[in-house]
Order: sequence, then structure tokens, then C-alpha cells
Amino acid sequence: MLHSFTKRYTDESTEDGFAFTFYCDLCNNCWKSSPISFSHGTKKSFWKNFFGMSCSLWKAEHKDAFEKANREGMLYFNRCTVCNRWVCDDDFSEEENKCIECCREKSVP
Amino acid sequence: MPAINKLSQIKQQIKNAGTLGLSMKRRLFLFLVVLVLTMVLGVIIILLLTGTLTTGLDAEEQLLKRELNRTSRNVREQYGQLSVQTVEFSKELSVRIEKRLVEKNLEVTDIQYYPEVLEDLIAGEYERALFSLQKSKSSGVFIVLDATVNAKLENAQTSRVGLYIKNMEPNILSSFSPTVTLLRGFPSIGRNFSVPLHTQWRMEFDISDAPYYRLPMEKAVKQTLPISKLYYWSHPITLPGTSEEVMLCSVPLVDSQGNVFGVCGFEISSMLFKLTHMPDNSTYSRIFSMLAPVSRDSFVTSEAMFSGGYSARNVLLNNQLYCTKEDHRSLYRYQEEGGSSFVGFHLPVELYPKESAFLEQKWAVALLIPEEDIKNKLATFNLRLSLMFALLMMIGILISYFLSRRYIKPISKGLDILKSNDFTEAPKTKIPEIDDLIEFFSLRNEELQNSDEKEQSSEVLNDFVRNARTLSPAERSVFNLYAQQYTAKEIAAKLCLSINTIKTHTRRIYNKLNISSREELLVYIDMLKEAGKEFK
Repeated sequence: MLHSFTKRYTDESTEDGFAFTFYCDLCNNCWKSSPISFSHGTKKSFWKNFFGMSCSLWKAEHKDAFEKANREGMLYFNRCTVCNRWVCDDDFSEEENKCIECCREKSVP
Repeated sequence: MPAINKLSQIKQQIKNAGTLGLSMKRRLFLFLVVLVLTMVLGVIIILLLTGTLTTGLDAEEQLLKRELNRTSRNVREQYGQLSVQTVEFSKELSVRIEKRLVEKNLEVTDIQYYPEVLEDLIAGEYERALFSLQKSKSSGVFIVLDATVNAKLENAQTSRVGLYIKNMEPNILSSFSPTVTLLRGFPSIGRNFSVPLHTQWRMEFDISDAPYYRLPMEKAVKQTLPISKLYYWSHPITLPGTSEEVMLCSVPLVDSQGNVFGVCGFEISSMLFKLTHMPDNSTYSRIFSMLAPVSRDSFVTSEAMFSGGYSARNVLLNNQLYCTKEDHRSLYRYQEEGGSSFVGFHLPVELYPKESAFLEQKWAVALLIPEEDIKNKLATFNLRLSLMFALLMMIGILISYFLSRRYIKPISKGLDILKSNDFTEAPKTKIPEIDDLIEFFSLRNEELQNSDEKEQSSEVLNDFVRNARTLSPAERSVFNLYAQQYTAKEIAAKLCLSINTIKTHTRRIYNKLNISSREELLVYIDMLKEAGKEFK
């Protein structure tokens, strides 16, 4: 099981390459990772290797691509210091270093 | 107008000098001018004390003395020689006349009674007289016998027979055949010897006012002196009918018995005297020499002979020229009463030997210049000297001016360099003291700049620290990581913030800290570390 830094993400990986989309924990703003090609990725080779040893290779590369995408994605989201949610810049208050929900909660008496 | 502006500028400068003081250039210029003036004055004083300045006057006096000595010597020689020749002529003539009379069985005392012998007697002495005239280099020769041709005439008492041959060209002294005329004598002599008669010819001498005739004869009669002590120099007389002045040296004619029967002698005309004793007038054009009888302390100019380019006789109003001497000068001053004044020297001249019958007559030769000529010459000399000193001072002042400008120029340049405060590109003035000063100020300036910089940097750091304290906690976190030389990406990863957030924080940090780049931030951090300052 792949664990993303955001709560929601989508995996758009194919037999040819790996791509992920990470979503803000508060809104639908997302960030798409740069597609990474599978090193052995062709249809012919896929079908040829699908039931072979390439399956585990693809999985390994997939995992690596996911981690890399995580690392990259983190740079486009901000972690709230209160609730630890990863939010986009729109939902993040730089001054308070919190997500806007935590900021709102704080301001409510 | 430019002159007026210049004057007002100068006035302003003088006024400023009183309040602000004189500039270096002017001080140096004035100093050099004072130095030049002092030196020139010193030279003048030295010249005055050593008498060099009066050399001009001394030179004039020496010149006059030399010329006077020469003239005096020439006068003595001429008059002395002529005196001797007159005596010789008299002796010879006396013997010859006596002999010729003896041949006629007559004596010299008889000639006044036998006028018929007079013509032959006189004519017989013509050639001898002419020869003596040529030999004597005088302007005339005369023989006067104590007899007259016609005793019955009205003026017979003052008329005497004789011979007077005039040399019309006395300046041509070496001529073998001088141009002569007969001034006195028998006309037959003129015919026989082809001698023209003078325009003022008379046959006999008028002795009514003839000391040259009377005095020697009287002395010869009264005294037993030899002939050589009896010659007489007359004061200048004007030949009757002429304007010519002559001095006659006359000696009595004495026979072997001691009977005086006439006089003979030679003449020095004023023309001959003038030509013979002309003084050198190259220095003073109006210099003249004078042979004059001396009476007490004055010269009797009415009875003087003159020589020179200056017609002193026409200028002299009175007969006396008084001589005085001023203490501070060696020149004598000769003054007429109410008339002209002259300066010069004089020397007594002895025309007569010791024991002469006429020794009491004193003569002197003087060399004179109109006083104003000397004064003008001295004035010209002094003016020239003054002009030379003035020129020397002007040149000195000009040199002082240029020297002061030239000397001060590099100093002013050095001061400008010091004032400019930029010593990095300062050229050398090539004056060690100034270059040392510039270097000193340059180093000092560097130290000051460094200390200023230190102060400034300290202040800047303080500002930085102060500003850093205004950062928000989030900014501070980012700032701290920047201080630890993390990149923005690393900071984003570390703080779990997006890169945009980091960028925003970064922008805010830069604004608050007045910096514009991460590098600048790191410089500040380093400076803080160096300064030992920290902020929390």
C-alpha cells in the first residue's frame, strides 16, 4: 500500500509510465506529478512480460515513482502545524503557518 | 574700465589681506621683493662707503688734472723756450746793430739823432728777424728802436721806428716759407723782400701805451741785471687796428756799454695760443684753458689768453674770476661776481726766472669747465646709475614674482590633492615634504574610512538584528534555515511548506531586513558571526 503525504491522491500510472495526482486536504486543488516512463514499458513487452518477471519490476518502479512524486508534491503543498494536513497555498496562511481552517478555529471565540 | 575693475580688485585683495591674511604666494613674493631691495640697497651702501659711487666724479677730476698738467707743461715749455730765444735774439741783435753803427762811426745812443741810418739798420736785420721768427715758432717778431724817423712830427714822442713781421699761419710751424706780412717797418723792406704789408701796417710803433717797450727798457736802465733776467711778458694787448690779441715777450737791446736802445722780441698771438694749447674736449665740449695773471686770489681774465672750443671771453662779464675750494670736493670753483661760474683746477706757471726784474708778476694756467656742465654730467651719471639700480630692482621683482609662482604651484597642487580627499590617484608633487604629508593623510584617511566602515557596519548590523527581531515565527524559521545555508527547496522540504510559501516568506524576510538576495543575507550572517553578535 502506497502512503501519500496528502490524504487523497490518484494514481494515473500505466504500463508505460507512472503519474500521480495529489489533492489538497481541504480543497480540490491538485498537483500532477511529472510522468515517469517505465523502463521496460512497451505494449508488446508488457504483454510479453506481464505474466513474467516485469511485473515486479513495474511495481518496484511504480513505488519509486510514487515516492518521488510524493517528495516533489510536498513542495507544492503546505503542512499545517496544527492539524498536520497538507493544504495548497490557497488554503494555507503563511503568517500563522496554519491551514485556514485552523486559523478560523483559533479566531472563533 | 578694466583698469578700474583691476584697481577695485586690488583694493578688495588688500582689504581681504587685513582680515584673512596674505596667501602663500603673496607672502613669498613680498619676502623675495624685500630680499631683493635689501640686497640692492646693501650694494648701494657698500658702493657709497667704498667711494665707488663717486668714481665718476673722481674720474672727472683726474681727467682735468691730467689735462691741466699737460697744458701747464706745454705753456711752460713754449713760453720758456720763447723767452730764451728772445734773450738770444736780443743779444745777437744788440751786437749786430752796435757793430753796424760802429761801422758808420756811430753809437747806439746816436740813432735818435741820425734817422737816415735807421732804414738801412732795420732793413739789414730783416732776414735775421725772419729766420728767428721761423726758428722760434712764434706768430711774430719785432724790433723797436728808441728812435723815430721824423722827430718833428706831432706824435714823435710816442712813435718809434722798428720792424714787426707777422706770421699769418702760426699753426703751420714747420713751413720753410711762412706767410708773413709786415705790420711795422719801412715800406722799402716790403718791396725789397717781397713782403706784403699788413692791412693795419704803420711805419712806426706807437709806444704811448706799450708796456712791452717801456718796462723792459726801464728795468734795464735801473738795474744791472743780465739780459736773461730782463725779459718781459706783456699782458695780452690788442694790436692797434686789429682785434687780435697778442702776448709779446720783449727784451731790451743793450750795447756793450750798457746803453739801452730799444727792445726786441717775439709774439704769441691768441690764435697761436689757442691752437697750441687746445684741451681735449672729447669729454667736455666746453672745456677751455686759460693763461692769466694772478692778483691775490683772483684771475684777471681781461688779461688772459684762452684756448678751447668755448668762447669764455665772450661769456665772462667781469675782469676777475675768484677761486674757491669746497671741502668735500677737490675741484676748485671759479666765480665771477654776478656772472658765470666754472669748476676746474689751476697751476701757477713761472714765466720768469729767479731774480727776474719782473718776478712779482704771477701767472697761472687754469683748466675750466662751466659748472653746469659738470653738474649735468654728474646728473647724467647719477641718473644712469639710478636707472641701472631701478632696472636691477625691477628685474629682481619680476624674478621674485615668477619664482614665488613657480615655488608655490606644487604646494598648491599638493593642497588641492589633500582637499580632494582622493589620494589613490594623487600624482607625486616631487616635493618630499608634501608627498609625505599626502601619504600621511592618505593612510589616516584609510584608517578613518576603515573605522567609519566599522562603525557603519556595526550600525548596519545593529539595524539588521533589530529588523530581524521583527520577523514572524514562520519567517524566523525560514530565516534560521537560510542562516544555516539551506536552499529554498531544502527549507521547503524541511519545514514541510510549499515552495511558493517559502518564496513568500523569503520575500518578506528580504523586505524586512532590507536585503535583496540570499547571498546578502549570508554576508550579514557572517558579519554577525565576526562581530560576535547573535540574535535570538
